[in-house]
Amino acid sequence: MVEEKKEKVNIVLEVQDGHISNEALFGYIDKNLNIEVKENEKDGSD
Amino acid sequence: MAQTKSVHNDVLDGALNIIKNGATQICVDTVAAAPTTYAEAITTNMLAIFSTATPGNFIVADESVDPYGRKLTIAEFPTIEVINTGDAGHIALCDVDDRLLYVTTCTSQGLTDGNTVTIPTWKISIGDPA
Repeated sequence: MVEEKKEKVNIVLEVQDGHISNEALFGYIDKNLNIEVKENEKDGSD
Repeated sequence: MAQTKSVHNDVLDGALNIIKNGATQICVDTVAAAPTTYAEAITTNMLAIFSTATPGNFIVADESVDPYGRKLTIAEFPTIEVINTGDAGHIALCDVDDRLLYVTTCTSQGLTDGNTVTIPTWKISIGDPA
């Protein structure tokens, strides 16, 4: 008896690209560089 | 006065080059759960693995589409032997220091032990600051 030789099937995947936003990578630094300038309260009290 | 953020290419490339110069193992993992550790990527969740990737399989260059920045293009890895039968859903990049460097997704497709699988070229990009 001769065994049939099965041919290998090749599956080609569909891969999704990866993206890292700059904010995600440097968000911590960026956040700490955001300096809020607030006007001093001038209520006249000491 | 217009305010602008910027970053030097070398800064973005620093992250991408970690993958380019380190990743040697390209794993096709199950769709059921994304690998969260090196062990999961190369054993627990692994359906097929290419273990001899080199920096020559990766190219760092400018990203030409919004939000621009830099990109790492990963070469095609054709006809990798399938070791475990299952549904593929993740691609993992690992290095020789047992680190799981990056995980992306792929369209779920059934793989059968003894067949082969091809991972087409794909990319990882890091955008310029907005």
